[in-house]
Amino acid sequence: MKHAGLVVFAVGFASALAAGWAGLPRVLYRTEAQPVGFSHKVHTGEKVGMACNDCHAITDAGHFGGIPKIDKCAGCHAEPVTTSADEKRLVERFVKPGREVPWGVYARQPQNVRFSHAIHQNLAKLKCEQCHGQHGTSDKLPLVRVNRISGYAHTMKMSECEQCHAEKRVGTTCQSCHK
Amino acid sequence: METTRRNIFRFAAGASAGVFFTPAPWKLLDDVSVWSQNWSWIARPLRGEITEKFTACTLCGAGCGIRARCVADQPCRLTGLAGDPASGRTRLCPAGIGAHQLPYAPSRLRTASINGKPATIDEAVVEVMARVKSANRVAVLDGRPGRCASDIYRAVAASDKKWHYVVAPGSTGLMAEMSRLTGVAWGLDTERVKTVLSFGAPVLHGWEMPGKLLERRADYRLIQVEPVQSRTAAFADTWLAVPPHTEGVIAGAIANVMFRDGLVSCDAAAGYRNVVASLTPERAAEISGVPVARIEETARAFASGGPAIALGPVEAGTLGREGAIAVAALNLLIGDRAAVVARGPLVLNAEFADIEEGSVDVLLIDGAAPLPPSLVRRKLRAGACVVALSAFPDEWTTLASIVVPAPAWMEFREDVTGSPDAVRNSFRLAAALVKPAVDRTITPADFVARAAGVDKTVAAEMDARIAAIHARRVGEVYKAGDGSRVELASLSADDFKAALNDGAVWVGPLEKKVRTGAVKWPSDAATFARALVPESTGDGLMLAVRSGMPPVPLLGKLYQESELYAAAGIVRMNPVAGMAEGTRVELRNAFGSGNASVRLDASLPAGVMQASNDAALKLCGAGSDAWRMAAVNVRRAS
Repeated sequence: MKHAGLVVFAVGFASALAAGWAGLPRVLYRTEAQPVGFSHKVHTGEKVGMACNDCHAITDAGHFGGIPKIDKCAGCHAEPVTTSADEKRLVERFVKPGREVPWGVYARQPQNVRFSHAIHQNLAKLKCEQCHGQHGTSDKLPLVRVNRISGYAHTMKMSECEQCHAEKRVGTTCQSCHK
Repeated sequence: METTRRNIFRFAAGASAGVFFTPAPWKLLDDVSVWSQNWSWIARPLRGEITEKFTACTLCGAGCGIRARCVADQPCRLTGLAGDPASGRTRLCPAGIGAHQLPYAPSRLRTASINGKPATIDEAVVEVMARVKSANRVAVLDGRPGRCASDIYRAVAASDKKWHYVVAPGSTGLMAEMSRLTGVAWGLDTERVKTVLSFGAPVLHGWEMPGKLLERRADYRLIQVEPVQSRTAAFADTWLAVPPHTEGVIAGAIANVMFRDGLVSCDAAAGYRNVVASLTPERAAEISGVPVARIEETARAFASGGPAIALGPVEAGTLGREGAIAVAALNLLIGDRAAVVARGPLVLNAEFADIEEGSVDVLLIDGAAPLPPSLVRRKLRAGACVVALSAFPDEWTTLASIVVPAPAWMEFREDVTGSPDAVRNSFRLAAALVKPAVDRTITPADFVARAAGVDKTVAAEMDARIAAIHARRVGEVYKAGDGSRVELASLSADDFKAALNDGAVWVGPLEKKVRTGAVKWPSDAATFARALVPESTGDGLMLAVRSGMPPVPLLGKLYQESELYAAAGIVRMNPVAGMAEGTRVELRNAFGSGNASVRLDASLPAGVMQASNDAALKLCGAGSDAWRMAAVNVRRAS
């Protein structure tokens, strides 16, 4: 064949593209299920009517409370209140023994980054949904995708932070976000 | 298509080219860089619950209140407490800001040692017990008297006649000499003072007691009498530049002018008139070079400038005992116009200088004690054993034959009794906030109690003192968490103890009925006046000590570049001394010698040399009842 060499080169080129774009994400990340299923939709729905801040509060000192402790869950779930298998598991494995749920964290940050929920919520007046999408009304917790090399979960990228900062015309210097 | 070597290379070349059009190389580089941030040996901040705890600093006697921001129970930021009634300070000094880092210092003492060989703490106790058994005199030197640990030392001294409890000079506060003269403990009323006459006190750059004056600088006039232009001298309203060691002469001359011009308003001062009769302003001008008019003007400003105070330097030996008396006497001369408050009867502790020379067989040292080695050597018997109880290596651990590692600040619970010069008594606890960085340590007081066979612990003494304060049911308790004040009488014993453990501070009431007795003025006027006049230097230079904390350029704006030169092994002098920059010189006088490098500094007066406290102590002499600075001969090191 006249252009056999070129074809082989193109096959190699295409293989690399396929591996890089399609294969790498599958190999690079491992997925982990949360230890207990949780429905934000049920908790924020009409029946229960909780707001984001009821569990993920920002303290008076301006610190983000993060994921609530088991005591918070125990306030309503000292005993199962539904027939849900996930709720039963929560009560039996964590509430009654007083163990914290080892939730997989979607947004663990690298050490060289600082992020203040208080500033973004109170000063920039951002809604939770603007960064977290419809997480607050989702019925199931997504799988946690953990990078096998870095150990961090797949989350927002710096480019997304930069884009929003540029749109809002706030600082995009290194020290704005990096320690 | 055949699998040939050439095709394999073509495929690899295509794949290599193609991979750069995928995110793979950039993503892998990114992930590897993030992974490298989490290598196990890279220090990283703790993650965990963020809490706020309240404690107190024990680095110096000021006892500042501390608000500690903790992550996962480890303090990560220390700030001062606004409205702290015990220390009166709202900000921390540079050392206090980083106090939670000190336990991790690489130079930390990690094991006990006996004659330079590693040993366990138990072996050190046994060794000291053996030395004590054969000793005639054992002394415990307390660098910070007034604590519950000091009560243990007193109990040990009371249990056996061979044990002696002594305190370090300078640890008894700026008002110590005035208290000795009158038999009453005095507090410095920083709230009322309108005129401060400072004889080398680091009013604007120190921290322990004068630091309180720094907070309200705009409210008083400051006259600084000092040989060198320290930061306090630079920012004083008036700076009287005097030759080193002539501060006492100036103080005596000011008293002389006050008697002469009828500015003395205290009957008890009559006995001092003859003592300073020979120290006329003309004679002081001859000795110090300060014009007579400046001395007279200073005397009038001090006597008529509202509530006033005269302060000596922190370093006890800079003026000598007579100089310190001359400064303290000025406060007595103005009677009720002195900005002082009587705190109660004086509890007089024996000072190290009071010990008989050549008599100490075993010396145990707790805390930093600024003493000249020449004085220490004179007190020790030949072959004496020195035991240094310290968390860090210092001049005492190099001198000691037995070294015992103590816990560092914030590693153990301590009590803080406030400055000895404060107007009110106070008591607070400094919590153990930091996880111990060294496995095996023992508090100095517990070590001394074990070595003496006394069944007492600091923890038990602390509980006893808390109970004793509560039993008096006077004073108020300031709760650092919410800034509230409650009467002690309204708290139960358990609530009081819990509040102290949470960082509260108890502040006692003002003592109203304190009787002052007759003032013990120096009996021999001629000897007193002679001791104030510095010895002739011959060809040597007069040595001035740099007082107060060293400047930290990163944390403060007010410092002079030349101040940074005042490190160990450096002496500063005026270029007219004839030395070149960096010259190695030998410093020698009757009390000691040492080598140093020269830094030229035109801001120093001719004939004056300045060294850091540590270096200067080696050249200090000891008189019969005190230690003092002395002139130093300087020559190029051979």
